[in-house]
Amino acid sequence: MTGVTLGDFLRQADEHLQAAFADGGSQSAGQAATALELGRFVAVMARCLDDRTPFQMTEVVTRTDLSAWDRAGVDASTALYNAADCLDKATSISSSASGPGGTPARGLAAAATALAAGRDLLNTHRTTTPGQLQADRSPWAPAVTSLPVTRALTTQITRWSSQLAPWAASLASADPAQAPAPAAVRDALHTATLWLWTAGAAAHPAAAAHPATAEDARLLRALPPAQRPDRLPPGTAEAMTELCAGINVSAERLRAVVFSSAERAGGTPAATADTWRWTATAAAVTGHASEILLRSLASHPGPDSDHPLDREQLQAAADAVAEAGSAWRRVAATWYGLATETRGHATHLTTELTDLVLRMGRLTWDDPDWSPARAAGCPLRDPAGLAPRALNVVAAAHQACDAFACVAAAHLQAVTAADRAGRLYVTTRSLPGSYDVPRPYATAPTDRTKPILQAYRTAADANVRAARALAGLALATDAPSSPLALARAAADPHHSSHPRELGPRNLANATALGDQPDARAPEPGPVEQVVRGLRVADPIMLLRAAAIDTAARTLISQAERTSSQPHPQANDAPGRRNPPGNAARLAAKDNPRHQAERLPGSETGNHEHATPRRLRSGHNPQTPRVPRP
Amino acid sequence: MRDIEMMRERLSAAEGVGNTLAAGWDAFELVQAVASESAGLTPGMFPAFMFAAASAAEGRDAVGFAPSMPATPGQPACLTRPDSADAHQIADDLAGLVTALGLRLHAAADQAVDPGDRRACEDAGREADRIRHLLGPDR
Repeated sequence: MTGVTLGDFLRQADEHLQAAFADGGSQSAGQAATALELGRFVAVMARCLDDRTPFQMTEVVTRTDLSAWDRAGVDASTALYNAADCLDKATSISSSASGPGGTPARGLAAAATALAAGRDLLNTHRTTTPGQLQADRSPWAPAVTSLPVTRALTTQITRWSSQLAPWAASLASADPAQAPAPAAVRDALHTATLWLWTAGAAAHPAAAAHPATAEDARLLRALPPAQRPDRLPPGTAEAMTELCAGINVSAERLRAVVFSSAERAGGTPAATADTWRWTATAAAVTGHASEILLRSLASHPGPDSDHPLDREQLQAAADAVAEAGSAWRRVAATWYGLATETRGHATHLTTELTDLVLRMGRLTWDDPDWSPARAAGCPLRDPAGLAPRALNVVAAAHQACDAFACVAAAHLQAVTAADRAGRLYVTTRSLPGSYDVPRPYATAPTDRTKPILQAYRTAADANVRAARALAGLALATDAPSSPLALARAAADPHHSSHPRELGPRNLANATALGDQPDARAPEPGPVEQVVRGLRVADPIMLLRAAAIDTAARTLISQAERTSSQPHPQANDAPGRRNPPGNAARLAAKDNPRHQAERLPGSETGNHEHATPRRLRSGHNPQTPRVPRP
Repeated sequence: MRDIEMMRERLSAAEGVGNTLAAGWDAFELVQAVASESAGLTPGMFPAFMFAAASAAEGRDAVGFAPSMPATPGQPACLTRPDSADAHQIADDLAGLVTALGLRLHAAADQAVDPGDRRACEDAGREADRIRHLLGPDR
């Protein structure tokens, strides 16, 4: 984890609150000002809960699908809104009578500011669509909206409410001679006290059944903002901790890159075989290096006190990572026989991958200037040297593996889209002789595109398994990547209602692709995709969307039959590959050059898209080149 | 390796942009096949061979889309296993081949009249240079 987290703001708010409490409400000067700031803090608490459980009280009464914690959140936020409302009304009426606030008022104001900042941080993970619906905008969003986070946040806020209630009562009962305040303010404080008690008690039923745990609280505190961390260009002679930190940053940035819809869109010229092939190669090399690291840690003959890692668990994780690396190697090998009509690399993706490969290599081999270039004589890092930073190494491998699981799912979607758009080509001579195509490349037949899609599915599965194995290691040893493991487990739809069950069994259900659409399901139509993208789980609504898509396809099909115009992509559609023997038509259509000439940004005869051709770090003076001379 | 030696001879004999493109295509396919096959020989050479294979595929596609690329480039690349199990020897052989390949492609880029051919030769030449950096013995 790097940078600010929600825990920073929660800790600040708590410290300011404790400072306010220490002053003592009964001796407080500026009672009205204190009540005003109390109202503001209570209002922020109410909004925090309202964000998570945006239900009306009528829904709570009528709906049967709400969890006990959802109900607790609604009950608590309702009570807190009531408390804030009465304090706001009373202090606005008597604003002219309020004097300067003392320590409690300043403490409450600072606590409100800190908590509001924390609420803003949480809200960076969600966005409001034009249709006023909420949608994810970061890979962390499923964890942010998960039950464990709701549980932890509601517990924190109801605890503060319970602390504020007696303090507010004491403030209301302060000696008028010492703390002069209008009667309206005193009455409001009395009423607010009752609402605060109510809010404090709101979580009791839910907590009795499924109490928030230390893991919930830990995940809550570890939540980062949706903003991706700044890139850390690889430096010279980085220490192991710096290498691991850099890998974590690259993994986080990689997840953010592939979360974007652009990286999942394979039908556009910007998506190229070069990028997909190079990504698979980088993933295979990273997996290879991670496997060496994990086996090295497992073989360390030193005392167990050096690192609390279980050797068998390390071996199992190394096996899983090796399997993932092999799966990526198969993806890369399958890409050797495929091409797209455009070429070039996606800058943002290649930069992150370059940083990741370089640092993983420098962590594995004992050479601060390691690069993928032929490393003759470069020894592996001494296991004894790895041991003191074993947890950082495990965390780095975990972060990388999790990121590549996300990459596999995203690229499976993109390549599927490219296949549907007829953008995948094979070398003509690799086709049977019956394909009489007088060009070096021809549209890939279905039997040539299935293997690449299958290779991605295998890689995605293997990476998920490896990420789970490493998550188990991270949680067992409290490695730096354990918040990621908690987040994946929390975002899993099959997550146990009791976080104490976050053992291997529950982790087996946790998927590194918790934020990814199911890549294996038949691809939904455009309307259903939009509805699913809005995270709508209502089966009726999803069925309606699917029905609309089906009706649209039927209509288009009918229109095609009655129209004399050919379908613009009729011959490129899956299942309608060009039959062999129609050489003239194939020759005209299968030539990628002709496709490229029609594409915006493509150059005649060159076939590169508008993105600069080679965007590896070698062209960026701040980045070491991969592969490096 | 005999296949590599034969490919070097074919490259030397190639005349004109079209023939150079065709020979380059086959040379890149050979490099890709051999590098991919050899990646597992030595752990330390795995990254170099893997990235070399990826670059070879990119080089092949660079010449493959050139306007003057013949419709049927030539014989398929070597599909036999490398003679040697010595990863360093294979890397040396491939580095020698791509050195020659890069020189021919850069020369063809200078000769090419069609801007598309020139650009394709330049791009492919860069890929050849990249592979030489990856597999060459001098770091």
